[in-house]
Amino acid sequence: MPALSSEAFVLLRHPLTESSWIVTLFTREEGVVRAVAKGARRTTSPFRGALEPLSRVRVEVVLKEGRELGTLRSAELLEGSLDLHGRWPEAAVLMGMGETLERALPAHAAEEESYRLLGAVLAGLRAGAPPLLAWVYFSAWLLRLHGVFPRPEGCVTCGAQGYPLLLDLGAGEWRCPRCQRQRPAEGRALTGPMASLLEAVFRSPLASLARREFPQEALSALSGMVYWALAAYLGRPLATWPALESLGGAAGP
Amino acid sequence: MKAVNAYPPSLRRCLEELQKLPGIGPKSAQRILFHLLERGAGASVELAETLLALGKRVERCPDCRAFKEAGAACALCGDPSRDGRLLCIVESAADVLLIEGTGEFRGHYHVLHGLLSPMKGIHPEQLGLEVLDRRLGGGTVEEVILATPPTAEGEATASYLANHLAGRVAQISRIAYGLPVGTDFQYVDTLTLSRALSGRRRFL
Repeated sequence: MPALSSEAFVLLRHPLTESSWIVTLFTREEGVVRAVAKGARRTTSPFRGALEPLSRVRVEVVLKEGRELGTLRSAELLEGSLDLHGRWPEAAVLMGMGETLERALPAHAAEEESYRLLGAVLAGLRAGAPPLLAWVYFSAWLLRLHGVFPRPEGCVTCGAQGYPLLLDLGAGEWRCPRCQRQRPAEGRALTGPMASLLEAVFRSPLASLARREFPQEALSALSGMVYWALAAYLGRPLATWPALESLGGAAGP
Repeated sequence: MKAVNAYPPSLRRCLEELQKLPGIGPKSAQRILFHLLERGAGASVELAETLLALGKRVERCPDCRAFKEAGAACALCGDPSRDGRLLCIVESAADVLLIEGTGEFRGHYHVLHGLLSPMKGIHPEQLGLEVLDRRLGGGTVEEVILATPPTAEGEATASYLANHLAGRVAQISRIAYGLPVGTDFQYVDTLTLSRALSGRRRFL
């Protein structure tokens, strides 16, 4: 029976029985893997403490041919997440990231860059990055890695360098309102201050942005735009959006 | 055809209902069902009447949100020997019983009936914060103890509540983390051990 041995983040867990969980793991080697953690809910379980959402663990999962659910054989905690869960606005970001990744990532397909992104956002939060900035950083980068939120470098059709720019979600391209043949709807147009912030997000690690001041209005507007794009990409709004909205972002879809 | 399909409809329905209870699988449901049938009609009627009364005669206390007999005073809130300066916030009414079992706490309670979990549709509005605010508005509570479990959702809920209550009560405490009594160090996970160390208290 093949066993997957990999470093992983725990994304979500759901009760299966009185004593067991189904855990969704984002493994470095094989992307999203779902596994039954037998007895994990018992206080005597060797998994105890290692399966909290967004904890970084080293796991061994037994996978059977043709079955979606594996069996968790071992889970060693490498870095816990309770420190961040114990700080409310940060906890909302963790919940949002867990749900987003669970829905955005295909099963059994490694995504090294998304894996490193998650680690970087957690490190940034620990370094003191504001939760709303961390959420924008995570969403913008995840969408960019998935090819739907490119770096804004002017209108792809006419080459105009000014703002606002509108995002053509289907094509994953920025266009000026004239080429997009659309009036910029409120909250859906990338303004100059939003573009500067997005440039900083795409250029620097989150931990280094923690010390910089950004205009709250641009951050809030960019958060609304990124969330609109994320919800469209995922096909429906996030269940965690009401919690994320409390971070101070603009209204969601 | 599964054997259960040979049962009369009323038995099948009872089996289905029993299996909706936590920890009751098909086999346990059958054991309970046949036990009731063998004890005779009287036993089933007695159980049914007791269960019916639960829905009709039990309600949430408007102050602590634990369960109480409808129309009667809450055994916890109405007890004058309890210390009104202490308020313990717990996830469920079952947690109240556990804490009462310790005999260590003689204050009042607030039952959340869940932990913050947007994925499960549990948002701050479901935690009875308006009841909590009303209670704190009375001015007698001096310390709030956050006794949610040490899980991701429990920690997030405690943090949210601490932010919500900040500046409105003299002291906000978090229940301690530690090693289970009688445990060998070899069997303790690293997270529990690190929390026990960071949460150490002065001994001498």
